[in-house]
Amino acid sequence: MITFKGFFVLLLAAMLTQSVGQPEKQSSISRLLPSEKELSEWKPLFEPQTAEGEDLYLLINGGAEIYHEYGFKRAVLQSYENPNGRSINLEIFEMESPESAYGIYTFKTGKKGSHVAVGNDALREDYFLNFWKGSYVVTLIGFGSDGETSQGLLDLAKAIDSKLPGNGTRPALAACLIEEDHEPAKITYMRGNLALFNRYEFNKENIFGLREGVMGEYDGHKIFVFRYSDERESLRWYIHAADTLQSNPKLKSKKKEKNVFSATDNKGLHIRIEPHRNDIIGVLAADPVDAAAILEKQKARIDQLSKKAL
Amino acid sequence: MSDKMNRRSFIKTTAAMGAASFMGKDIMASYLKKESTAESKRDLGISVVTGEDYFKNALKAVEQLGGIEQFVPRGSRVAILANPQRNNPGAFTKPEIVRAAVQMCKKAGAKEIACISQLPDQNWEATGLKKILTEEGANLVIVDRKDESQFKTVPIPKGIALKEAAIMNEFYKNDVFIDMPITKDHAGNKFTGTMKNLMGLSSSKTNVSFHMQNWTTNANAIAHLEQCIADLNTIVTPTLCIVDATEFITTNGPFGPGEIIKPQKVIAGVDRVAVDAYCCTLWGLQAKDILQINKAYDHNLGEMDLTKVKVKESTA
Repeated sequence: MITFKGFFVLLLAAMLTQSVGQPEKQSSISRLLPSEKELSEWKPLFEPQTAEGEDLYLLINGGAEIYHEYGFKRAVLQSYENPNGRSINLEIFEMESPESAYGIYTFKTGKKGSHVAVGNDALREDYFLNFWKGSYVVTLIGFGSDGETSQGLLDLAKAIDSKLPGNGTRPALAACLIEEDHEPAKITYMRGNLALFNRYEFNKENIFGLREGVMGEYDGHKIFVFRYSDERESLRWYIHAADTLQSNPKLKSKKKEKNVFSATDNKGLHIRIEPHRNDIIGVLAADPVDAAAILEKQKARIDQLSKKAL
Repeated sequence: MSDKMNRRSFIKTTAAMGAASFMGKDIMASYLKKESTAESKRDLGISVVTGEDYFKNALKAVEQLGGIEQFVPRGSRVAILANPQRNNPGAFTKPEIVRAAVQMCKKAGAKEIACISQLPDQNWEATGLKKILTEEGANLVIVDRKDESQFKTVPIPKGIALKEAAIMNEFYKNDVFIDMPITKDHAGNKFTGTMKNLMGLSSSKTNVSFHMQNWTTNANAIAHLEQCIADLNTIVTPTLCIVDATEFITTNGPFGPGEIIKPQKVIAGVDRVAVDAYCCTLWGLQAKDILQINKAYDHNLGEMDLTKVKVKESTA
């Protein structure tokens, strides 16, 4: 007779023997891998590794958390080699939505690099290439800066691009950072505190109650916009964040007013935070006067977008 | 030896006895011997060697601590925990550094040398680590992480967040344990080094418990992860740490790809808190801002103030 404990052990064993990070039979995401014809001279080195949901941890360990914050569904990893010994790693992540895919794409990409015409957007940096399309983010890593590897990265990217369903559009919030002739060098779209923590550590706690936000990195300053469901909520979180930052010993020259918080961080950067409509806007700049002016300009930008939307 | 050291040693030894008693007499004796050996060698400080030849850096880093014979007795069985997580550049321990460690152990007269791991064979192949182990006559022992019988649950008497952990049986079959991580960025907590690398010894089930339910990513989740790492380190003590700080990712860790910096350093030491405190400075972090380093210091696992640590730096 199987006892309750015995049943539990069997159930756990069954769960743990699911194919994770191990060679797998054809799964829904593996069909996105390039076919033999598409691969041309590139050959798979090993069996692909896949993971779904919580099992992503078994594939990429602690790197899984940020994917879960954005909303992860499944992934496949594969490696390729050509007859001259060049090799490329391929990683395809299926996220919960195009917004999730865009978000993790902006998290993974840097400021330097060149955009290439693949997917919705693609950035070639140093030895790797990332692109996003629909609910998918694709990463290709080349082990060399030679022409063969560079061309291989692009060819494989295009092959996968052609198989990916959907297009998706950049989240509307990202548009609030951009105006004609003034695009940030880098945008990060955020869905939680871990992404913000990795970009700029206001606090380890989620003092802004961040669910959706963007950060734009410009020449000499940064702009943050955190969005809420209504003005009451943005004000409530502003008050909470300002109160918390007011007692942060790492900040200097702190000044908390009804609708403005300002301070200087430990690197001498001026922080200015204000609630505005459904948003909290934050600016980091070298000069406090600049910070105030930049913030006013961002408010105007958001007002203009709101008018257009009506 | 100071009163504090005596008290600390007593507590650690008692805790170790408690933990090891579950594992059997032979394992207990071996564990205690490893503990006391490591404890006495913390005062050697840390050794940092910079240069383009990473193999030579590793040799000299250990030489500066007095040589491998200080750590590897003749006839001993050696386990090495390297990191072959992914063969993305700057994300795995470099083969030439592991080769140096294996050669040093052979020179010291080790009876057996093995890299122990839960990661699949293809990771070892893809990173080039398997090739050098074969060339050097060292073993690669891969434990099936889905097979719970390959792990033994051990209590953690000093654990604050982690009260027990399933550690691979293979770990306890060796007399010497060398921790060989690559230091790099980690999106979960900004840093990984010697202490986080020890998660390579604990089972998937244990490691998943280091993360909050539903993969929550708030401050409590980060604190929990960091505390679990520190707690794990109270029951596993490397004989020696040899850290790859040559070329590593400072963004998108631990998996990469990301931006790579090239300090070209290999760092060796017994005091893993001091080693990690040194490593994080290589990309502008400070030990006081890394929770796991603070929590390990609170557990008396080592010194985090580098002004109190002997740091011997040279070039190869």
